[in-house]
This record gives sequence, C-alpha cells and structure tokens, in this order.
Amino acid sequence: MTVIRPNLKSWFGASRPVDERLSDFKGIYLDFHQYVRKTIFFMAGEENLDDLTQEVFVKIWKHRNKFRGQSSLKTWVYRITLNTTLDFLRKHQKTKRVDFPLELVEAVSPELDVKLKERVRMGILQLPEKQRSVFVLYYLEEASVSEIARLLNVKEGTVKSRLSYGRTSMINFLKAKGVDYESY
Amino acid sequence: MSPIDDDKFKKFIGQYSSEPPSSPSNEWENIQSKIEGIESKNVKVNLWFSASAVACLIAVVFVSFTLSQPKIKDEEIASFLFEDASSEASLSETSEMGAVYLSLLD
Repeated sequence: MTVIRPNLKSWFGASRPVDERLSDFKGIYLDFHQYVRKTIFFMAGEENLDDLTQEVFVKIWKHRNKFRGQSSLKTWVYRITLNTTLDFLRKHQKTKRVDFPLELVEAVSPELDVKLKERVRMGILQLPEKQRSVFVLYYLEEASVSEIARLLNVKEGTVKSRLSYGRTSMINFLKAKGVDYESY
Repeated sequence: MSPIDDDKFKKFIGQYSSEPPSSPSNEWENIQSKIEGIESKNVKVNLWFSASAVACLIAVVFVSFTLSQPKIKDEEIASFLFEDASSEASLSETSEMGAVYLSLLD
C-alpha cells in the first residue's frame, strides 16, 4: 500500500536552515532518482538524461509547497518527471517517431540480449509521445490503468486505447526487426 | 491475426528493457548546488522586497504626517509676511500689498 505522506513543507519547514532541509530532501532524491532516471531514459533517450534528472529534482524542491498529500508522493514525483520530460521533448521537437537503423544496433550490440534490449528501447522511443508515456508507465513502471489516468488527467478508456495502439505499434516494430515476443 | 497475450508481452518487455546508465557520482552535489543557488537568490529577492516595503512604509507615514498637519490659512501667511513691513510702511500700503498678494493667490 502506498503511504500518503504529509505536506513536504512539514518535512523541511521554511524556518529550518537550508542545510537541514537539503539533508531531508536528499532522502527523497535517494528514494526516487532511479525511478526518475528510468522514466526519462525511456521517454527522452540517454542524451539528456543527466540534465533532465537534475531539472526534475530542482523542480520538486521549488514546488514542494504545492504538494498537498492528496496523491502519493510517487505519483506527484511522476507527474513532475513526465511533465518536465514532455516539455523538453516539445521544446526540442523530438515528439515525432524516430526510426533507428538496425545496422547501428548490430554494430554496437554484439550479444543477443543486448541487441534485444536495444531493440525494445528503440521500439519504445519510436512510439508517439502520448502512447510512449502510457507504455512506459504501464509496462516499465508497472502503474495501473487507473493510476495512469489520474496521473495524466485523462479517462481510463483513453489510457486503454493509447496502450492498445502503443502495444500494437511496438509488436509491429519488433516484428519488422525480426523479433517475435511470443518466442521468448 | 492472433490476439495479444498481454501477460507474455509484459514479461517480455520487463525482461528485455534495458536499465538506464547509473547516475553520475556527483549528481546529488550538482542538484544541491543548484538548489543552494536558488535559495540564495530567494534570500536576495526577499531582502530587496523587505527594503522596498520599509521604504514605502516610511513614505506613507511621512505623507500622512504632513497631510495631518493643520493647514495655515492664506491670511495668516500674508499677515506674517507683511508684519514687518507694517511697522515701516503706512497701514494703507500694507493693506494694499496684502490685497495684491491675496489676489495673486486667487
């Protein structure tokens, strides 16, 4: 069960020195940084991973007083991560599908598992932005349909529909690269 | 086309999803330094606002104090200005000068 924590303000109230508040905040960083990095990695790729991760945590710090405890801290962190990543993608016009030449994968990934992992990652990255965010949340972060709907502020039906399109597109991408998930 | 076995697909994606590269060792230090920068800027902004607020308060107090002072009537000013003159000039001259002054004020 997800623990709903109180307002972040009470964790590092404004009256306390910055050092102490930062020390508390480091706990939040340690709890969530892997999870933030994973989402950014699959949403925006590796290139801007470090910068975006830092940006997400700085935003969490800046907006900590806006967290009311109505959703879990994880959901709130997710929302900031997703919004920051999507803003970045829109700003840099990376929302369109990207086709990756298979030769590139072959060249950099000599082992079968590594090749497969690269294909899966590239398959995810070629999905349109809306399908990609739902796909990442559902398959990689194991969020439920209702959680995703709340997080993205859309109806559950919309989530299911995006998920279905994303899954089909992913399977087709993998098939085109000679990968049939049913064989694994 | 065969229906998609979602459990199998989920398992496949889970098994073959690569992990992101590990965080740089100084990631937290970088975040901390950015936050400290923001906090220090906030302190400067707060100080600036406080100083502005104090300056505005002083201005308001000064203006309201000035306005609350009893207004000196024009006749009193005129009599004050021409008090000395009355001792040297004739009374009629003083009255004339006072009348001219008052007409100028009008």
